[in-house]
Amino acid sequence: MIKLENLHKNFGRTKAVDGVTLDIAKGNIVGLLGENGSGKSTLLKLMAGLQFPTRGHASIAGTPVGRQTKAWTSYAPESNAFYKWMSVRDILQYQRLFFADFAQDRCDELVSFMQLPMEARVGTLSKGMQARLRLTAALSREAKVQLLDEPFSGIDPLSRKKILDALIDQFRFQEQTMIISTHEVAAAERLFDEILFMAGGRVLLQGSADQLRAEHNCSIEDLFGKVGY
Amino acid sequence: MKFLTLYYKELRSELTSFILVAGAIVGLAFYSFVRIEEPTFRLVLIGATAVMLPFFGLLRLFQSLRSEWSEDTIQWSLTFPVSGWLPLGAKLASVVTSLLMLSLLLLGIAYPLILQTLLGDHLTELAGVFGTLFVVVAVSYICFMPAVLFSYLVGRGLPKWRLPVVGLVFIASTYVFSKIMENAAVHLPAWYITVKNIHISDGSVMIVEELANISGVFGALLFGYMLFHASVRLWNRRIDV
Repeated sequence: MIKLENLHKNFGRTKAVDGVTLDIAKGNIVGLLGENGSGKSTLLKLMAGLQFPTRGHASIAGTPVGRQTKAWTSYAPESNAFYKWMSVRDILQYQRLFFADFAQDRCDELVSFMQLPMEARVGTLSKGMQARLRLTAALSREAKVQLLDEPFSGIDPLSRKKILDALIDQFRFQEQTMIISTHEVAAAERLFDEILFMAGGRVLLQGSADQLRAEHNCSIEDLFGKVGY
Repeated sequence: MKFLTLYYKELRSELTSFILVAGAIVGLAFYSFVRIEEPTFRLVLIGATAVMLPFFGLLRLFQSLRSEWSEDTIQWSLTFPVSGWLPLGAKLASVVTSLLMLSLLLLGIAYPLILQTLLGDHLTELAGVFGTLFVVVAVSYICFMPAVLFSYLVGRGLPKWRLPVVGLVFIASTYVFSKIMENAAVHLPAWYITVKNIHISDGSVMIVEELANISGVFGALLFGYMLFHASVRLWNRRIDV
């Protein structure tokens, strides 16, 4: 579904992504793990078409990442990227207008589940509510690929658990490929079919979550503490 | 529909600066009416304000692009599966709309306060001709505005020295614009319109009729198209977050 071939992204002399080659199967939920600055966000942005690779090639469903793949790729950034003067309603209406895969019923469910105040302006929302809005905007789309960058940052632990449960049981469209970058490994590891550990812009370890647990005889959280550090 | 939505969003983003500038215009006009007795000086003051408006437009367009990165909204804007001509066109159109409305406001205030007193009978005579000239100048100016988009996006694509590069590219664009206008006026078939200039001396007004070649406007259109097209290509192929 997602194919990355020798993908590089440099910022000046800094190698944010350094020769990543990957093939992510359709319908998998992938946990993208690594420390700050390991290249997770850059890799997600490259897949979302928000950044251009310095070298290498990225494609989704056989189509090079670009304007066409943006129509099938839903991306939720780590921090607020919505206009602060816009209301929650404005944001969701924008999403509906620009994306043909926007599912209004799903959106209504999510708004109710996340307890989003429709008329509130983004700038007046707490960090946690802004994170909920980002998730709502992304998950309301029946996109082939969901790319979620630190989707739970700012959300309190109790709500995080509820959202994680709902993410899989209620708010994931069938056959949707999902890549989630997160530091909340303990809470999220039960979601993942596949794990990617990144450090220094490279993929250090990759494999199915069950296989990695069995091979290393520890949880993904414990493995996260060991790999590369 | 998508363009209109983006255009409305840009207009809404500009509301604060629009209100500030509109308030300044009204304040200035009020000041000139209350404090300045000589109509000629009032005209100079209002004229100076009118000259400043295009600079406000360029600054506003620059600010509109800059805020996409400083507010991080570019991360959302770039997720939309649309060509760069939609967001960039919407930014351009909204700044032009603001300028048009501010110009009308200025004219609406200047007309009863100054122009009618000063020009009296000549006003009707001048209106039609000034209308044509205004359109020609406005079209040339609008064609120049993509220089802001282009220079900002060129600078944005660089890892460092962004601001100096933006400045240099903008200055170079201004030079190229003037050369294209000049050459278009020389090499293209002449297109004359009658211009009536106002000459004011000792409080009396004289209208002098002159011919002006405006074929340079075709050069401006070419320049505007090329730079807007180049900006869209940069947005589509080079700009990232």
